[in-house]
Amino acid sequence: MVEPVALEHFFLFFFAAALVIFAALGYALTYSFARLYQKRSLLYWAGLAYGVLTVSVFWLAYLANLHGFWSILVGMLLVGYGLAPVLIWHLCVATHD
Amino acid sequence: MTRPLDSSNLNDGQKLAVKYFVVAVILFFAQLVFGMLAGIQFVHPDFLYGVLDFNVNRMVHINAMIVWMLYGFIGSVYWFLEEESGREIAGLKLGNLGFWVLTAAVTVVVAVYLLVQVGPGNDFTRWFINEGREYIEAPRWADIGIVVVMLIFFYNVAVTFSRGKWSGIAGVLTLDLVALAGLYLAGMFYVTNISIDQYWWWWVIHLWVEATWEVLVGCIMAWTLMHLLGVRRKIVETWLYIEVALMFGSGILGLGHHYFWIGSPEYWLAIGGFFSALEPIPLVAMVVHSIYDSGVHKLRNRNHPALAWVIAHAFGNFLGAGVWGFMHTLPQINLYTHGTQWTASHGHLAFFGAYATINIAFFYLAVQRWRGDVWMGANLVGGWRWKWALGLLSLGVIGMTMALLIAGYEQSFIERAMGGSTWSAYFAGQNHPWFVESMVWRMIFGWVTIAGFGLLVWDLLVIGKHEVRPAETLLEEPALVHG
Repeated sequence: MVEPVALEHFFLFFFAAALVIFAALGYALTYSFARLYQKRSLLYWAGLAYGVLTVSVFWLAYLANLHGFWSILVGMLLVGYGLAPVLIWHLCVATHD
Repeated sequence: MTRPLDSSNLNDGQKLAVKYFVVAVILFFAQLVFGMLAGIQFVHPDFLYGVLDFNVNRMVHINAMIVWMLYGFIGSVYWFLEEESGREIAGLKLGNLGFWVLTAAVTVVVAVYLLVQVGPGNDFTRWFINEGREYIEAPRWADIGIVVVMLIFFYNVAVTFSRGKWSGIAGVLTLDLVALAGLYLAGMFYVTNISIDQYWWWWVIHLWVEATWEVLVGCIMAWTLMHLLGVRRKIVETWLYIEVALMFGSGILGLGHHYFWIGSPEYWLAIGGFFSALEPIPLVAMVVHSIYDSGVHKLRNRNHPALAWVIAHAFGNFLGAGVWGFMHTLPQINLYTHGTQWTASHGHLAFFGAYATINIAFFYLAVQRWRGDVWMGANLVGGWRWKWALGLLSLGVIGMTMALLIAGYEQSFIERAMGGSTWSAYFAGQNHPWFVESMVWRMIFGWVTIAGFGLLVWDLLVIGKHEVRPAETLLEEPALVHG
């Protein structure tokens, strides 16, 4: 059985979950714009967004009481989300050629 | 000089589509009216009590939403069927018959909902009055009618394509229509075990809406992008396959997040949680791809209102389905949030973002052709109307979403987490100032939404009427120079 979110973590959980998605969006946006306009500075922002994503994902995992095997899965998902915009960009280029 | 709506500009499939669009708009209005009545009853519980009860208003509100969106999708497919297949629609008379049967059935079902609000729970009720299952309350005779009409729709599409040209869009669409008719059957039988019954009920609610509808929207979007932006067929079809794969990969087992608390085996907690976490991936793909496309096209298009609604679709889908969905989808928090106004908050933004927006975008494409491919680009005569309609509808829905979010947070905290879901905790949650004030704000933003709808209808009726310029001609898209 899963361990529910603690009462005192209630608001933090919603906040962390929203932050995960917004940070993922920020990462995807800044990475794509960096590639589109060939601006290296935007890649730093993408790195920052990914950093926020990493913190928020592990924060969410902590608040959701995800331990052991689940923390490994969380790490794998994080790596997957890191690669996703890169792969999708390559797919865009390949399919538009 | 004015340009009237002239049906001689349309092929037979498009003439049939227009009928579907007209009923879709009427049902859209019904959705808003009954939603407002239910919203008023949250603030003034005595309003229409005993005449038109809350449960009836809510039921018609949700049923009208499902049906108007379905009408919009069916109409959109009929709209592009002849152009996509390169031949005349097969079984047009049958298609017209299907339209009238479905429309008559919808009218009778709603009339019965309103006239027979209370009755015994027996087989007669199930067959002729109300099936009793939330969201799919239509009685059994109407269920059968819906499946028959879906099969007619499938016949029109499959036979037209098989006699004409097959394409990637045609293949995905035809297979999806099999699922559209087939999955509805899962909601047409009863078992006495409530957990098993709910298990199959969710197949209709989740897989019908979140899988088959999403694929249908993918096909409609693929065709729309070719005609709106001039995107090459090879590109949209490749991306249609990618999106369908991503959507099915995460969405089918994402169904598990509905199985958390219905008495299903415990492994659904892990499956539902994990695949729900994957569900935002197609949305991330959508973000990256749309930025790539904006770099290729510089947003050059032949219909500004339609493109604006497509952009609203991208944002609305991301926020409504992605952010609002993920915030409460993991079982550790869903234990408290499921069935509260949190769900309603997510539902309002997700349905608007994922489905209402793309239907409205298509209405604008249809009106453009109906007026003889009139100009709908920059400096459009009366262009303020579509912008205000977009703004008011979006503001209204986002306002309702935020109000419901606060109410849902309060409910899940006070009623569920602190009060332990007892009867007294339920009332404590319902009477809390946060909840009551949120309902007032929801009602106010409901009126904003209705104002936006009024403006939208006005605009659809007159847009392009005073334009003399023809629609912009698009060149086939170039590749991005640097990648």
